[in-house]
Amino acid sequence: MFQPDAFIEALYLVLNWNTLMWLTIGVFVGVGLGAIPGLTTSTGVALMLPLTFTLDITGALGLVIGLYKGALFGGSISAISFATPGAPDSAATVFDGYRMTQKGQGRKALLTSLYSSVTADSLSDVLVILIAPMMALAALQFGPAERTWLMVVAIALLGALSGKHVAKGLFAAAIGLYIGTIGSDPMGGASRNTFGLAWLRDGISLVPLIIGLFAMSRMLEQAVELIHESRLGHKVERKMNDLFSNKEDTLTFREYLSNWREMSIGLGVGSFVGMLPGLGATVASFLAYGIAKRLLPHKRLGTGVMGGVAAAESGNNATAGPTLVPLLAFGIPGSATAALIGGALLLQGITPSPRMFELHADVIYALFTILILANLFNLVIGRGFAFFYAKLGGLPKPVLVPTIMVLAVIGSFATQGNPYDVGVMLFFGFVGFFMRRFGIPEAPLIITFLIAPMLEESMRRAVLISGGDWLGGLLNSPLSLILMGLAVLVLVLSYRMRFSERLEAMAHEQDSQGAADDDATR
Amino acid sequence: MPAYATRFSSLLRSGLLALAASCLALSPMAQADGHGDWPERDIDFIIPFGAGGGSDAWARTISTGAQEHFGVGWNLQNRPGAGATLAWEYLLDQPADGYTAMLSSPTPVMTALMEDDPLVDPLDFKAAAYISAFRSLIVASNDSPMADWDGLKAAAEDSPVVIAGTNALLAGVANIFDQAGLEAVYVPYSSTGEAVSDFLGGHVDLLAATASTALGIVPERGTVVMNTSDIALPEDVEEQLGGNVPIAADFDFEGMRFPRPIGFHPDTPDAVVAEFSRRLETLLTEDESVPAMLDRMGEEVIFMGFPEANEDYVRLVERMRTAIELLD
Amino acid sequence: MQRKPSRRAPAGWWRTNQALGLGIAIAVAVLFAYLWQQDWYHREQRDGFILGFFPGLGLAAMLVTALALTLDRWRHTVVEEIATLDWRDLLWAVVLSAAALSLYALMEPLGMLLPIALFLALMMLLLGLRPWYLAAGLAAAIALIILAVFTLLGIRLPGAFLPLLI
Repeated sequence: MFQPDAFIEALYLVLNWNTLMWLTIGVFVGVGLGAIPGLTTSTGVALMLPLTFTLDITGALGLVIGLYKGALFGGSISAISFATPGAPDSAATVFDGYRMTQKGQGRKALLTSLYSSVTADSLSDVLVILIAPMMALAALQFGPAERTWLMVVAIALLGALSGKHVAKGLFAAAIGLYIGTIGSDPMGGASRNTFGLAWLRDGISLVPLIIGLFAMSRMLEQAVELIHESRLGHKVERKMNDLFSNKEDTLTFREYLSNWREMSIGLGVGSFVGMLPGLGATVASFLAYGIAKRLLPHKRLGTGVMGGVAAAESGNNATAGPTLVPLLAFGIPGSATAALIGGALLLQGITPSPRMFELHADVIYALFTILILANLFNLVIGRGFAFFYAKLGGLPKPVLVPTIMVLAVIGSFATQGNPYDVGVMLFFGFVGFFMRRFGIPEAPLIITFLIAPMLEESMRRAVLISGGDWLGGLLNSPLSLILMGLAVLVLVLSYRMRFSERLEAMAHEQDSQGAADDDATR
Repeated sequence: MPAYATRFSSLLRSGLLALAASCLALSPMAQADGHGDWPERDIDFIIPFGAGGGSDAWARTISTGAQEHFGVGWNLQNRPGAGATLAWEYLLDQPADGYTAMLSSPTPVMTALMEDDPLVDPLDFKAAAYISAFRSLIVASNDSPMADWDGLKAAAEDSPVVIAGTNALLAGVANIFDQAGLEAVYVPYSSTGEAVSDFLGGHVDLLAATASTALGIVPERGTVVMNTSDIALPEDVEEQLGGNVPIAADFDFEGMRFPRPIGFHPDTPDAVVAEFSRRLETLLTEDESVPAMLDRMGEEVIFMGFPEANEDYVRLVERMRTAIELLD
Repeated sequence: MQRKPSRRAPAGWWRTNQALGLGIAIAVAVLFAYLWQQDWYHREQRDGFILGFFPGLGLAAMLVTALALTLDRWRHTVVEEIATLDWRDLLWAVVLSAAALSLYALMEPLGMLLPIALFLALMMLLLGLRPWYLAAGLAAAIALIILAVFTLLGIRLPGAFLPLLI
């Protein structure tokens, strides 16, 4: 199977100034773009599309893959520094990342994010290179019924994100369930739940929802606080000069290694989620975060610890390689980004299909080499950006808060060019403000908003295929039975864990009196 | 702060200037050659989808030749929303002076047909040209008894077959099945990827796919049973798909294609629309760079000019209306 | 982490979880009644579900969880942020959201530079940045940087960059 000649050929193709330059530019633009809220990978690649016409195959791949990987990491920079996820997939990073910034550990959080991103990304790429065909075949086993149960497992697992006050977590999940149905019926295509507003027909978009709930709500909260303070005559204490001071905490190798469990969870979840078409990096990062929080209770994820950042970021970056699996194995683009990479291949006259391994082995190897190299570039370029942003995160709040508000407004517009998205963002900014005040967590809302529509679609498809037979449609294979069992198991276990947690909480009631408040679990 | 401001912008600039410069170099800087009345200024070109999709790629590619062939530039505007009809509503709000064009596709037409109270009337559109078209191909797995039309027919007469695909492609198949008097369960998917993976995993019997999707599956894992459109596949594509792909007309069915129309506000003067169509035809067929780029993207130019395209558009809407009713 | 109940309950019943849960439940019930009366709600789809089934399911879940808030063991708790919540805070949140919306609305007629700079300057002053010329200078600088970045990236934003300069 391995063709040494083609591999050497590929190295010649990749290791030249031209390819490396485009890779650098790709990562550079990607990280920069990813860090601006609302501008995601697909925007970036669309903007660069005319440019790829003029490049050779490796240059084009370098640019597109660099941009993709850069943007995946870049999103976390602003999530950590400003609580403003640059892209939806870094929303789960806000919980611990922003809290660390508030504690003055912004730089440490950014480094954790960078290193765990690059680690999970590289390992998932190796996984793809080694077992892409097997992964692809496994993914094919997931038909509508299996996907339905998989979503049920995902939702059951995410009970961890609902926090101590279960009813509030579930209420948030119910909101997500409801707003996820706004739009059109997945089977019939007729619009539903749109309140007679035609523009709601495409549903609520994820980007403005996340910018609103995560960024705008926090900015409103901080602005209201600042208004109180300035009424009371407080001065802005931080000096602008602080920005240029060099006293910063850093991340030791030992600290990096201490997150190995979180990174493994992220790697496993991300790789699995990435290879199934349609799920995406956002689901991966929330799932990884939720599972890590559940499995590692002693790490106290959500209180501003490295582990939370590591789990979420390794989760989303680990999807980068596996998302190409269906593309390489069957020519199916599993995600928007995979479609764009497939487009870049097509531009060079290479149709993504199983034949590619025989006809263009050199290009495949070049693609793999670029996948790995891009991680190294990300490490260097990402580091520069991270430090720069960490400094910006130290700007005085009266400067930062309005600036982020402006970026939230233009970012939610720029993501699709849809003016209504600005309104959606502001609406959810206000909803988020209220939810934060009332102590309702955001994470369950996002998760059900993402997963419930997929669950509905798969379930109805499974039943439609079986001709209206519910039992036969949903339990039609050993795999769906296993997944159903897993869902039940997770539910039972989480109930028991919650019970023991409660006992523990009672025992430590005194200790927890003054503990740091907690974004995700309040 | 000022020090930071400069550092920030220079940081970004240094990386992006190279890109910006190359982008500029790409667009032909030819001088305006328009001597007539129209066009006197840039044309707003509306894409009813967000950046990054197929329509967006078409628009961005064609617009690189705009300056040379129209003497003015095209301002591309992505206006997604409301099942791609928000852009259409915007088009109808603009003056009918030929300075706002829209790249349509089956999606907005389907939205307008499926809604009870659509934003726009699907016929409120003057098609200046069709620039391309989708064909819906029926794909079956190689070892399936449905791998040829007779086998498929026999199976479908026995019990309804299950076919996966996006709504527009399913409508193309429904059009044929209706003519053949066959029953099927049409399973709609929002993403091609999921439909293909369910087909490959054997969870559904058949797949409705475009030619470019089929290229990833056929011949290793599937066979094209029929091209349900009224246009044959390009020779090289047909060859890659195993050759001799049956087309609807072979079985005396009336096939249906899904064009990509470019059009204007319905009140736009015919002379302007015709002039646009003429220049666009030169751009798409005689230009050197644009057709080559489209070819490299795996896209195919299937041009139909004004007024033929506009006359066909009316029939297209009717055909799609019928096909959508068949899906339910 | 759940806040401790404020045992002195200075705020009164209407700030407890119970009251808020009840308020939400009533709002959800009203919404449900509204949706039930819509024609689309009862239209049957090709797989037998009525169009309103899943939205209704979402609302039912909201209703049940909101009612759970009024009954569970934290029902008498007053969350700290709610205890200190002043109606003026909510008003400020609305005003600031409206300001952000008008920022967007003004970008189309006025170009993006002016409204952004104005918004930034006013907000910075409101949030307590002094002296005023620092706020004005920073606002102008940040607006220019945003303008530069988006121009370089070639991303279309509402409005031209400057008024009268299309």
